[in-house]
Amino acid sequence: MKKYVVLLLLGFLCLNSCTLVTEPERFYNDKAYPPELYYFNFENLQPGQHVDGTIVIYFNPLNIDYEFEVIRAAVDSVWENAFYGLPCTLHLDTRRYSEGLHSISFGVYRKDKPHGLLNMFGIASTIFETQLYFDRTPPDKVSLTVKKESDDGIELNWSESTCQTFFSYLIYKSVENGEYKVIDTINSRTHTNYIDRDGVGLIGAKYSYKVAVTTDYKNTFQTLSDSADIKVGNALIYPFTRFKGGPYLNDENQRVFFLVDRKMIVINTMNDSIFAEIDISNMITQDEYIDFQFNNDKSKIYLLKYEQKKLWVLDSQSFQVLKEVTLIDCNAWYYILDDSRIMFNYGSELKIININTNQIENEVSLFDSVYINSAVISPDNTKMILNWRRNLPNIPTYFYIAEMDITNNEFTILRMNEFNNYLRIERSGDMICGDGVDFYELSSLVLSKSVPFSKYVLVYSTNGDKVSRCTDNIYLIPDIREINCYYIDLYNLQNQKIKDWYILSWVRNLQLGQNKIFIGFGKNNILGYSLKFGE
Amino acid sequence: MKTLNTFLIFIVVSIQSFSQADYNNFLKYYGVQINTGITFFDLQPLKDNFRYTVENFNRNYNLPLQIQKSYPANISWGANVFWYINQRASIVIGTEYTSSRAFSLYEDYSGTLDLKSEIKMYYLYIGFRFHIVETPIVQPFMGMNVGLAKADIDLEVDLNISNSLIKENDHSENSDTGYNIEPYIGCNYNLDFVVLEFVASYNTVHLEKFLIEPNTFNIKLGVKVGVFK
Repeated sequence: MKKYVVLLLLGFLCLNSCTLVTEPERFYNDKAYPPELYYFNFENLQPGQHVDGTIVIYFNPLNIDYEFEVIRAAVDSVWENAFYGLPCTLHLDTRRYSEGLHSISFGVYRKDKPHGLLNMFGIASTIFETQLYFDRTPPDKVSLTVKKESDDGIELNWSESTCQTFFSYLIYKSVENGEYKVIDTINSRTHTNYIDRDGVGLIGAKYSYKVAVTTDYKNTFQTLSDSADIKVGNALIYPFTRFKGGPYLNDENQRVFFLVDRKMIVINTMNDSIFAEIDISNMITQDEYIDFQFNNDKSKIYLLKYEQKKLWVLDSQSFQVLKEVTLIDCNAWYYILDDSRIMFNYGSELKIININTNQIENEVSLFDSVYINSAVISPDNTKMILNWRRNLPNIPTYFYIAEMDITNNEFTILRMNEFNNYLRIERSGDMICGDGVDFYELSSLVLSKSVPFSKYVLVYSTNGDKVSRCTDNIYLIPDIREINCYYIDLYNLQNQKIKDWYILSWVRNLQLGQNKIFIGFGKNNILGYSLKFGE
Repeated sequence: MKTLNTFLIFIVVSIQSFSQADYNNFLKYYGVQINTGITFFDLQPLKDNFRYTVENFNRNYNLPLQIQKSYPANISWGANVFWYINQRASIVIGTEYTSSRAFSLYEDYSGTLDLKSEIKMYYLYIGFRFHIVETPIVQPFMGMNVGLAKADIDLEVDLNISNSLIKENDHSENSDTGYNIEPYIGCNYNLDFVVLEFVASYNTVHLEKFLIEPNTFNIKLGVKVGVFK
């Protein structure tokens, strides 16, 4: 028995000769695997590309098929921004970093990270990385030219930028020396032309352009080209000291006449060239004015200096003086009845003078308290349309229109009708137009058609079944500015607009300066003029 | 430790061979005793703490760390001197040492992470023993030890990534002292030349700072030799 106890003792001692708690084998996690690193080409950004300013990186990888908790963007492994969904867009200001090559990376942090011990270091499961060169070299200046591309387009062409950090071209536009504003952006380096079609129809206006090369989408860093200018419409500049009158349109010969200083200037309306300069210094001094009128067929020009009752009749083609007469009587308001007679308007009395004999042929008195507004002579010089108003005490003012027989000097009224208050009437074929709005049948003097217009018509011109009118308006150049201008429209008598134009109205800013707008129908064209004089 | 065991075995065998003494435990004598045994720990707060550390790695880093050992039973060693104050009662003064450990060892493609913890208990006690009955070979007894207790607790976290590319070691040590009370029962078996002793005890430990109470259930086997008066 004792031997067994001794053996038991020995066994127990052997068992206890070392510790029972021994170090176990390490558990090996064979499901852990390392993170993945991809060299990634970001959209529009090639590896090693030179960039500047603030860049935009659009990130939307296709191979993220796991649930992630965050996406971190980093520059040179330094955290820059965090996103919580895809796709994501990083706006990176490269100027916050030194100039040179930098790594840009997006790390996708998986929710259940399988990267073993590396999980403890907050490592991304998938890393997309590229390298970009942060470049501070200023962009280059391009060379710009502009030309008229069409009636409604101005074409810009410039040299291609060689800037390594090129991001876009900015098109700047200025109208009439106004502020330059960006009208468009072009992001392709090789795209070096542009056609501006927005608000380029303001005739007479100066359009200026510049093209800037930028290095980032915020346009923080850019270099502007020299400006290139173009004018819409051909301005004819004629130097003079004093403006005396005009324009006087001869639509038969496509001429327009002006009186300046002591000259009569004749301009060809088809090519804007000066056709003739006629010296009329024997008629007026530098300070005197003279009245200019064509006869009905515009074969003759009548120049009247009514204060001295001097009348000159010139051939409108050769500009030869056909007649020079000192009239027996005259005033400023006269009408040419035919080659031998002219009629002066004395309010309620018409005075017919024969310029050959220099005799008063007749004095026709109209009704009491009548004031003649205007008159139109028929093309065959046989009839006259007269428009007057009659003011009588205690009753409303009446306006009348009448057709008179002017073949003799009796001026018999053939027809008469009540009329509206028009500032100016004009004959258009078989109709009489009042202020470019209302058209009366010549045969009945009854209102036939109306082409209503909401604004005040400055001037108008009619030709057959068309009327063209001019009003003050605003020309809107998108995102640039609004400019005061004249608006000319062309309507038919069915009140349908055929075309319209905008003409720059010049600013009245000098002592001698004034604005003048004129519209007249030529044979094939409408002549619209905005005259600037005094500077 | 192995040297000590070999030495003890040598003593036992030598004494069995040469000693012819026929002494009775109930005679007055004094002597020395060497004990070895198994300690069953009740270390739930410490186990919870280790588990919490492991779960932190699980939860925060998605690391499948496992608790491989959590303070299991371990051997104990002790020694005391004794003397009988009468035929049935004796006084004991002794010391005892025991320990246990916890492990969570992890490895993957990137490196290793080792979590190790160890608790060491040291006791210095004085005790009183009383033999219940007088029987020829097996003599049952009961007693109680009271003394000072000291606990050392270590926690070591050892991280090694990519063959020491990243190497981190976090080692914390804490110590506390207190007292212990250890009632026990047991019996002697007289081999004539030595006396074998089998004891079962429950050691209640009270530490000053630690919230844990590392109470233990112990089974001990002792060998004692003495000198007759």
